[in-house]
Amino acid sequence: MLKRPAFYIDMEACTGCKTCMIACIDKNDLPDGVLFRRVTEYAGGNWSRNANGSYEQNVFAYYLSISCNHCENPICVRSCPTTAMHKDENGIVTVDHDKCVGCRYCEWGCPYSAPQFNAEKGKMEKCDFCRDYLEQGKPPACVAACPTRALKFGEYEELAAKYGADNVVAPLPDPSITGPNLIVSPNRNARPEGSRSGKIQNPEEV
Amino acid sequence: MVFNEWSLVLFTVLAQTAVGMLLVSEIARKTASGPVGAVLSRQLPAVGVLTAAALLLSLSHLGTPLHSVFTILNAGSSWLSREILAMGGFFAAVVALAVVRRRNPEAEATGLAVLTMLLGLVAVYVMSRVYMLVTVPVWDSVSTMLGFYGTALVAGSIAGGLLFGIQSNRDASLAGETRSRIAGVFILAALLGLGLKFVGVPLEMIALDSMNGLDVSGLAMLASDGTVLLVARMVLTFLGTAVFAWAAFRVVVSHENGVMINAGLCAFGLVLAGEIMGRLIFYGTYLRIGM
Ligand code: SF4
Ligand code: SF4
Repeated sequence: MLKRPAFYIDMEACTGCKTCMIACIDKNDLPDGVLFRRVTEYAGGNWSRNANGSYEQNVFAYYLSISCNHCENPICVRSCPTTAMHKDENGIVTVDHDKCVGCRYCEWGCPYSAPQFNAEKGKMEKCDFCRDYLEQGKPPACVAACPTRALKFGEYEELAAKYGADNVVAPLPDPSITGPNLIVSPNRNARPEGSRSGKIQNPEEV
Repeated sequence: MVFNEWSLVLFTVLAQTAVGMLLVSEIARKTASGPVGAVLSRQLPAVGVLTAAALLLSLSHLGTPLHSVFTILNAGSSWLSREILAMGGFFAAVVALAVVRRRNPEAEATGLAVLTMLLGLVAVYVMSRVYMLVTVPVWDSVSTMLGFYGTALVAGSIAGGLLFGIQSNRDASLAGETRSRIAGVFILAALLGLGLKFVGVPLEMIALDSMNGLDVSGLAMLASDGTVLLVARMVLTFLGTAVFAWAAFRVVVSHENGVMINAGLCAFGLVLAGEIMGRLIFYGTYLRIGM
């Protein structure tokens, strides 16, 4: 097992096909409207006037496949009143269903929309890094399914050493809030964190 | 705008009303010159009933209410755990104070009364902190706290003042001077609460101006469903407080009680409507950073 499990996204390779999202739905048998992983489309652009009076556009779009980041300082864990939300010995942030009261407070706080409410069970559910697969030595379902190999997983330090740790792009939140175990290789169009040059598109798809 | 947080709306408004009622009635009791007799005797039981109702309502927000015993486990870091502990502590203190005063109506029980008041103040503070989440900029503002304390004082003094009006109407023995002083405390507390609310308005506007990843701000959410709500909510609370202050002022100057009941009821209705509307807007403009 990993000590500090992390996900890596190569934004240049990601085509926004959502196969990871579907593989996750399939693996976890998720009901309608519940997503442990979501592929967010961020886009923007404008017309600008050239000196000769002609117009040019600078439209851009890119994708970010995000699940729970099993953060180092998870806001979900620190605000959960019951301690149901906890970081286990393998660094995986999980919900203990024997304790969860279904107050949804973790959902209010997490800036990655990772905790998902299961109305049938009256409890919170979320990505568990496919713990069972990891134990069998297999990769998480999303990583295994990615047709462009844009999604990887591994030990945080190793991924950070290889790809660099501090690439945060819009619309990801300030990483100092939760310390996400997420490594990103920015797309050539990627806007910096906090940028207002684009917005999340088609929110109904995620 | 999604109005799906009714249980939390009612829980927070009722709990804050209860705390305010306790604070104001205890201060009124201390300020009154001479014996208050039984004229404030129903305040504590009413506070207890309101708190119990609020706590029960909050259960309906939970997906698995049976697990609510676990909600105090994370008091070391969760404001939600602390809120439940603080409200529970407040309720216990109110019950204890009510029992002491019931056994001996003359008992001042000052120590216990002060403790109960402090617990009430702490409960409202903690309740505000629950919403002041770093990832929810529309709520993460002092205006949340000002709004909650404001609700406590406005709704609490009007509820308490109405009850006082009803009880003092039946008690002709109460000295005019005492009557005036008690009514005066209720007026001042209601006005102070209204002041807190209005001080909070500009801060609330700044907080509502924050945006999420969809480029939508809290103000934009309101605009699409009518700024009317925002204005109506303030007008209702203002009118309610004004009607109450007028009626209670009649008691102060002419010891005339009758008007206190009808006007008090009307004021309470207006303020309750205003506060509930305000709270619906509060939850309806929930907006989080990130994705
Ligand atoms: S991504 Fe959200 S749910 Fe996952 S650990 Fe971080 S704060 Fe918690
Ligand atoms: S919904 Fe469950 S896991 Fe989330 S904060 Fe509440 S008790 Fe904790």
